Amino acid sequence: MNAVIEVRGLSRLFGSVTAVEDVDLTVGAGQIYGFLGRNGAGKTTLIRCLLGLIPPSTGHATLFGTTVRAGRTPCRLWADVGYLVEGPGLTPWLTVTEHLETAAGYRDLPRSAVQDVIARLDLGRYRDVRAGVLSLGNRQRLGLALALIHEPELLILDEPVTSLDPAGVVEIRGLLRDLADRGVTVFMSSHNIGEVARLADRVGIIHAGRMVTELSADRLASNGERLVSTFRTAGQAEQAARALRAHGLDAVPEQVRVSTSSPEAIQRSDDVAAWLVEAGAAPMSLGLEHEDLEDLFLRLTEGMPA
Amino acid sequence: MTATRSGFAGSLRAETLAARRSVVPRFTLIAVTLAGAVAGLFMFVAADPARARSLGLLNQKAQLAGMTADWPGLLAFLAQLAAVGDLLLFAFVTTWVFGREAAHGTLRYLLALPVPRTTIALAKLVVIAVWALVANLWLTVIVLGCGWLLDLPGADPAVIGRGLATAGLAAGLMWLVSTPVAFVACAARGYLAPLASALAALVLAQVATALGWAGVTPWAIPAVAAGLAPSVTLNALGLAIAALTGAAGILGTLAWWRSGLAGA
Repeated sequence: MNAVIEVRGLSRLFGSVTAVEDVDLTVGAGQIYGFLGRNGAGKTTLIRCLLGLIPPSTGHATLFGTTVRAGRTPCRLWADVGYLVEGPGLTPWLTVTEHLETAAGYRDLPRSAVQDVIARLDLGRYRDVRAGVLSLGNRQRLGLALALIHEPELLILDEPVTSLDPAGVVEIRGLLRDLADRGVTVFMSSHNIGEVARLADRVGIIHAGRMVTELSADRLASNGERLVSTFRTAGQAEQAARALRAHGLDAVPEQVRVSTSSPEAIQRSDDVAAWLVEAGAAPMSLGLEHEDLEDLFLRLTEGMPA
Repeated sequence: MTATRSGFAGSLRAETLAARRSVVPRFTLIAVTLAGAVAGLFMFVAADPARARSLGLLNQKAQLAGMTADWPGLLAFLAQLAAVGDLLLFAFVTTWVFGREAAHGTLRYLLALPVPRTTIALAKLVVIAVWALVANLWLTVIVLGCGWLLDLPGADPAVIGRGLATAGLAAGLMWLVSTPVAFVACAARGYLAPLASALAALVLAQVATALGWAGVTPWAIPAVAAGLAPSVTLNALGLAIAALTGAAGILGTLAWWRSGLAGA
């Protein structure tokens, strides 16, 4: 799987405030990566670093293998990237069509691209309406249209379904899934757990600027069911996680516990126990637990300063 | 789908569309028309103060000092408008063109496009320059029209040519020395600071003129060119200072767009 986004050791400070701290993540081609966090967790700051709007304090981000440098990224890179960040920034007196014509002009696109994206985002009725009088939901649609007009290979979306009505949410979800099925990579931040759970192939949870966990497609597909083993020490848990990974399982150590959501592990818990004993990390307990994304998010972020 | 060209034409089209559809050009056109009409009104009053008094245009005790109702007087008025009024006009337009991107949150969409950021900023500067040119041409048309309607004496083509050249020089110099407003609009991310900086420049120009420093103060140099500081003449140093101020404004603005500060 080719990495479309790679972030390594990225931190961003604003004065003495650490907005993002030592984040690593990788997003493969055609994946939908959900980036979950509370308000102020650092989601938008990371997205701004990904887009080269601000430089990271340390670490780096690459898109399609090209390192992003604020103001010095080769601008050809942005031909393959569409984005919506911090809400749609629109010029109040320009109509929907004029906004899209402007975007098409910057990107050297044919006029048909404007009509196509208007149809795709169901903005036909509003094509001659000025942005200043559009509803919040339709402003968001126009923002998405601006991100999609050039059919990018990578979409970076900050809270893409904010302000949309329930039907609009379902529609945009379908659109993003369709794009991912056609190979488009989607990186979307949200604080809407349900939305991310429905859509994402992989989820990263950020809290107080730090990536607290990443959840695999298996973990999401298991709908919260996981095999959890408990050990006497955190060292034993680490050792057990390494042993399970050696068997191809997605083991995640959390202090003295190790959890895995791999369907294979859930079905073959006796084998898992045997593998752990063989590895010299006999568990004190081993059993199935159910924890959906919402429970997990709250457990990981509650009681911690945002 | 990839875009590989420099994008200047697309940027210029986008900027032109945004400007054309806004009310601001119409507003500036009205302001310029009024300024030209005021020049005509002054000439009308100066030509026959008694008639102006009888029409209620001039207070019974008021006097119009140092104003002659002829073509040289009218064109001197045009040069004065360019040397003083253009600073406010250009600052207003520049503030709008650059400041609105931050105020409307549209700046972030311009910073990750397949077009160099400096190309977009350059397109904005070109729009401002064209706008300034059109506004001054329109002002000239209005003023010349007023002179023709009033049938002012002294319509010597050489005099008119010299007067227009002086006004043109003053307007051109003012365009140059007003470019730092673009940098202020970018760095301050809004409308107030650049407008305040233009007002400060205007005050500084007045003070410098009073102190005899008009020839070396960037924002007073257009007034020197317009003959508003009779004891000072425009020289190579003054022109160089205006050119350097213009270069600093343009290069500073482009550098800001290219820097990591633009998206902060």
